[in-house]
Amino acid sequence: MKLAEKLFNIFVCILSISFVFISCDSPVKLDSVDDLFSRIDVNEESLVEYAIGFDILRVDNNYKLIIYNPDDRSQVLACYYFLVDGVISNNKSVFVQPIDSVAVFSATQLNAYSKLDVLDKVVAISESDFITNEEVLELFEKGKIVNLANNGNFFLEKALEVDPSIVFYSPYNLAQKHPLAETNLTMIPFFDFKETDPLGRAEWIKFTGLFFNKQRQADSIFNIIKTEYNKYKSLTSDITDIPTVFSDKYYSGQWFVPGGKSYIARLFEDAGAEYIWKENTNTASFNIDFETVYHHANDADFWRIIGYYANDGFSYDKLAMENELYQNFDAFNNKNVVFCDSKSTSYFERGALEPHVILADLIFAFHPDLLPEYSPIYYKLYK
Amino acid sequence: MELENTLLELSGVDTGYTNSSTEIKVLQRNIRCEVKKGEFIALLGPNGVGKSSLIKTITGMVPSLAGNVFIKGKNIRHMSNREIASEIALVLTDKISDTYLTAKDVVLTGRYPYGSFLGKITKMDIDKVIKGFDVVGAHNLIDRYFHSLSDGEKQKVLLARAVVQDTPLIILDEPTAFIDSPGKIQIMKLLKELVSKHNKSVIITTHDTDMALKNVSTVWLLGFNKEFYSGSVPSIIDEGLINRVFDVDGVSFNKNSLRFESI
Amino acid sequence: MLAYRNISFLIFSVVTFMLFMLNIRYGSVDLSWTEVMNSLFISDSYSVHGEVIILQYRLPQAITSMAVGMGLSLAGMLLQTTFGNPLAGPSVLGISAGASLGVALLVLMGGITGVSMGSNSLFFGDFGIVAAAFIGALAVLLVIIFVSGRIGNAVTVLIIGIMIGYLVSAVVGTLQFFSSSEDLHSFILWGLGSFSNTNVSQSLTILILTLLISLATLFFIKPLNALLLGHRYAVSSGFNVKILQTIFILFSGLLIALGTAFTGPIAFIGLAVPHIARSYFRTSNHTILIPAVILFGAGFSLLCNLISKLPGYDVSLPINAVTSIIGAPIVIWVIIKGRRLDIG
Repeated sequence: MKLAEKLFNIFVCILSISFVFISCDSPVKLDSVDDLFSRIDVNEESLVEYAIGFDILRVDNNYKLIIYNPDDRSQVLACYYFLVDGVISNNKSVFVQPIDSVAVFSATQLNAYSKLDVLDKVVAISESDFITNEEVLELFEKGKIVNLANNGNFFLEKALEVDPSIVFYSPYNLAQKHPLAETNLTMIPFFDFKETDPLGRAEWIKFTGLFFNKQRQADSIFNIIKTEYNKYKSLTSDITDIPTVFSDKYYSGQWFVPGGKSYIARLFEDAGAEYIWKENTNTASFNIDFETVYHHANDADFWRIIGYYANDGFSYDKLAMENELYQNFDAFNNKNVVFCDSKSTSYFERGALEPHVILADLIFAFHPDLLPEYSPIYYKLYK
Repeated sequence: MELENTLLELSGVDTGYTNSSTEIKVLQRNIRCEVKKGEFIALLGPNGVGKSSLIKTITGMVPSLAGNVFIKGKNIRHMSNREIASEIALVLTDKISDTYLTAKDVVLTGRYPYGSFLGKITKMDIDKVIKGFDVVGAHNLIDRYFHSLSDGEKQKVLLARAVVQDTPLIILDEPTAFIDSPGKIQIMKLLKELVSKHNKSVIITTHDTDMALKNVSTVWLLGFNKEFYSGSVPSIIDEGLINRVFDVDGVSFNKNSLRFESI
Repeated sequence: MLAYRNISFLIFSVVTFMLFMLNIRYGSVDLSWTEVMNSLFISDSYSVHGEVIILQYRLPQAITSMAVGMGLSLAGMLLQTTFGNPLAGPSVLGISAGASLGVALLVLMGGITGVSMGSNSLFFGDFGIVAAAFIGALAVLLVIIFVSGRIGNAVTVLIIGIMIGYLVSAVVGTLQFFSSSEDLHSFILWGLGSFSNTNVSQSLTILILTLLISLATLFFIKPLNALLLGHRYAVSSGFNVKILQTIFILFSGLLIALGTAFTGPIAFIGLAVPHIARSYFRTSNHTILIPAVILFGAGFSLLCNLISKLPGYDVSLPINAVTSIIGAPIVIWVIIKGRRLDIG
């Protein structure tokens, strides 16, 4: 072929390809991505109803994910764009696609991966000793998933060797730099644990779904959770007999109790119980001394404890052995301790995506006649 | 040997110490000597020759490498610290740094070898303490804080303590070391009085050779070749032993002026 | 002078008693004097609620505070005299560090063994922590006693004690590094010290044992006074200093172990109170010092406990923060005052 012919063929190819593009759903170019979403009012149109740590916006099958600073909701930490041609970007760069290797450092998020059936994308986790998810453990045994941290110590070099496209991490303290931040790995925070609304915490499955084009599945899973939750919640909306409840244990001069606006406090309320410190405004736990707790809670109806007891689990004797003073609480003497064995129930891994189950458990404990045939999973009333 | 008169006897004593690596260093070998009642002894010798070791051996703080030390005929190996303390009193140059100790507190410890377990102070103890202060001429110092005293005053107080301990023998380590000249004379005078009037025996170690020789009755001389010489002052001087033991280039001991002079 | 001292003792005894009662009266929850008296002296009082707080929480707390204050102060005094060092205190022999190590091994082992102990509450019964702390303290104590017996030289023993303290702290630090945040939190809370971890019978046990050892100390007034002059003078006064050194280390060690095991390490009291006692009575004579140290130790500790309770507020401060904030200025003031004596 002569040169001119070659050139002509190439020109035609390019033209036809361009046609193909033009005739599709006009893919958005990187530099105009912001414009696309700028017309949308986040407050009105966000696809996220309960969670306040992130928002999702949609324009014609393009999605924008906004992640907020959980300690200061007015601050946007990062934005990610999920475009219709499969491009995922943060407005500065494009991620390698498809995303087939991620590191997931949160056990709850791993749970979402299981439910969305994208576990094959996971190449690394942390704190493998604490993982109880069977599918994950199987992959871990086979060597397909690698452990990158033990007791808070991260294995930097191993992480670089594994080289995941994205690292999803869950820091407790944003001010502290994550050990892997020094690398050039892409780090994206996952803050489900900061949500105090039980449905808000579960809604983070939508966050995960976005990265693997599983929006629909995530939505449908969440809708089931939402429906079930609200169904249970409505059971208690009219009750008149509301028992009181307090929580946690005393140690070395301090009793850390959940704040009035904390996750568990919300669950107590939705389950038709009055939390002793409901007037308090903390979203996390705060400490008070024994006298104060005793003063306010000695005649509370129920006592919620979450923990782990070796050798046959929880018993009132073991509780009394920890501290004699517990025997002065009505809830102890009336055997109204609502206990969750976090280890055997894998509460910390699975609970976040099953708030409806937790709620039902609590309702069954506080108002058993409302759920006559129910079998509790996480929280059980021990008699 | 008139046992009644002999306070202290060293019989074939080797002084020295063992290093941690069980290496034995002998300082003086085969010491044979006595201390009788009413003797004023100066223990002389160059630095590092073993004067402190000898004192420690005599008081039982360090066991002798060979031989035995007898106090009034009793082997000190079989004596408790308390028994030894009722026979020998010490005046040392150790620094006492407690802020609130009074001179009286210090002297009172001299009564500790006697009396009850609980430390109850009897009238007799108080009387002896006051008497002790009188003997050394320090009555005005009784209620003063010890650390606020001058070196000379401290010396007197520590001597009062030794007096109060009611022992037949008092040993002083470098008593004239940090004292001014008048003070030195005063202390030696006191010690001589203790010997003559109170019937005590006194051993002093000192580098003040001429002061010692002028005041004491007996000399114990230690040398680097494990030598030990004892004798009256004139005999030690006459035999030229001081020069033999203090063998320093360009320095000689003058028998007449009783001083070291350069040659 | 004698009358002045006796009156002082009387006054401070009354003050200490008052502080004790104030510790029973005040706390986060407001209870009246009537309730306090009823709970203490009348068996069938009308308020069970008040009774629980007073009899099961505040009373043992006050007794423990008093007992540990006494014990640590006495230990500090013994150590300062034995080692001739005004900076000696319970921390100096590494015994509290040993107790910390015992507890750290129990609580933080999770990091090594992979089991999170934070939730394994069975071990956190008083018994587990107390036993671990006691064993740790005694282990270090035995080492120190062995060293003291073999080497004898006070300064050497002191330095070895300090070094053991550092060594143990390094091990604890390493354990902390490998622990989960839950376990670490529990351990740190323990380390802040608390008088509230005892029940009435435990607190009385500590008190009685402390008093017994204090009583025993009274038999050693003479050798303690003699030690003030230095080891050589003590020997020349007729005492076997090596054995005495070991005995005093043993007494101190037991007092420290007793305290630390139940309360966690309590800072400052052991170091500061002997100085306060010496400075107030202007004497180092142990005939006066021993009862003074015990009395002041009890009072100082009760005062710190009262403050840490922040009466009327729902929170309370960790006891170590209070003892240090109050203790440090006092020690500084005492030292400065002592220096003025030096010049005079």
